[in-house]
Amino acid sequence: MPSPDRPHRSRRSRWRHVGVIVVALVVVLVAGACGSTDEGSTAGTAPEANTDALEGLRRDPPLDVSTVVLPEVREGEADQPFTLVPQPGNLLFVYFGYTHCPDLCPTTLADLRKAFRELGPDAARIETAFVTVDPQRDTASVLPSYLSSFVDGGHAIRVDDPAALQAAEDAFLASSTITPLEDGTYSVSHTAFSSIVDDTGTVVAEWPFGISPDSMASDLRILLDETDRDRAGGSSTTAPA
Amino acid sequence: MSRRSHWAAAVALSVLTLTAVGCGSDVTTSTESTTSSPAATGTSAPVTADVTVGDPWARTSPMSSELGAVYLTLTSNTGDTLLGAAVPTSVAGSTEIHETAMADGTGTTMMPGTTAGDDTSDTTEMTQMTEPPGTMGGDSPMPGSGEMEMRPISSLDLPAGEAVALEPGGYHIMLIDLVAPLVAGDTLEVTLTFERAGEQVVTVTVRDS
Repeated sequence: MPSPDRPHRSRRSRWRHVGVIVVALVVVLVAGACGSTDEGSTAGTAPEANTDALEGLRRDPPLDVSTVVLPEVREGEADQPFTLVPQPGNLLFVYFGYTHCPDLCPTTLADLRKAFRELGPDAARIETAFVTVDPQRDTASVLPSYLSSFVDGGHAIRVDDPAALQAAEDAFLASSTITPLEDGTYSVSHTAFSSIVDDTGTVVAEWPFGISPDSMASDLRILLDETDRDRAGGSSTTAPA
Repeated sequence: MSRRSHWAAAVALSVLTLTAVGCGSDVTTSTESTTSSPAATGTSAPVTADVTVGDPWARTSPMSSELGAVYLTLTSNTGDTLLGAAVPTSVAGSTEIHETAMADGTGTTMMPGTTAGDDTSDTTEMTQMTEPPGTMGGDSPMPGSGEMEMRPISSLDLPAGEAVALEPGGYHIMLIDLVAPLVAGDTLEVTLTFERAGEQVVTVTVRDS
């Protein structure tokens, strides 16, 4: 557009370009520096710069959990099969835990709740699935209300068949063990990380236990941006495996 | 089999504690503080054993849960041992001191920071994974992602001058058979029993995190 035979004008427009670049840079820098405090505005400004800021772990190649289907329980209703893949455009937080767990599980869920508050309206795009590793005690009358203490609309997942539970755990590289004790009770041990699944059924990030709510929120924002880009740019870019 | 060694260790520990208790103060809920010990009146100015308690809190208990957890930081001036914690029966049926640790029998807590006190970032700053986050290959489990479990411990050492944090992922006081849910803003009284400092009542505030 700028005509080469009018140097003065072309020069001005060049400066305009520089100005745009500077503004863009500043936006990127600001977005990078205060991603977590900024309320969900700067989507899409920094295509690549963001990826490195992910606190969670990315696997290469990523895990594909799209075939995992487990029963979702609701009190007083029949179980419904739930595929551990979120609705299009959403993300799914998955945690293997149990309700008689006073430390790790509620810490993680309370931190997730905090992260949702930081995310604001975008939190509606994050679904939550809590898969019990203790189906004996975590019945349909216990599990959904436990989960609802932390998040709205979470999926309470419970399967009686230990083999089915283990197959699901294997898909996420999670695990758990029930150990009978001499007094007739049992102890439960379990992996305490969380997984974030995108709408293709790919685990896009794993969080170690203890990740801060701020980091959760900023990771979720980055991953939502990626989901948006993937959807906008055609689904061919990130095919799982 | 590593399980068995856990239990062996636990039994050994409790025997040790019992022995220690036998020669020391009276654990059972006597209200007279037994720290006015016979030896204390000896030579140089005796230092009274004292434990400073920092930020005592309990998480709001989820619906349908009968369990709660109390967190706080303990700093003993002389070196001490936490022997137990109790709450009124109007709050919970019983109480245990618990350690959350890797289940593989290594016995180390997942969180190296449990005895390092100067880090005041309250809840979740722990768990330095052995590797920084980033990408990692195919199907190897995540670093530090072994199974974790809670186990009761019979006592907790408090080295002199060191802040020992009972915090998520490390130690906590577990409240068993809660009478009513713990609601944000509530307070409850927890009686801590120390080997040297005797009993101390701490007011714990309930909050979300």
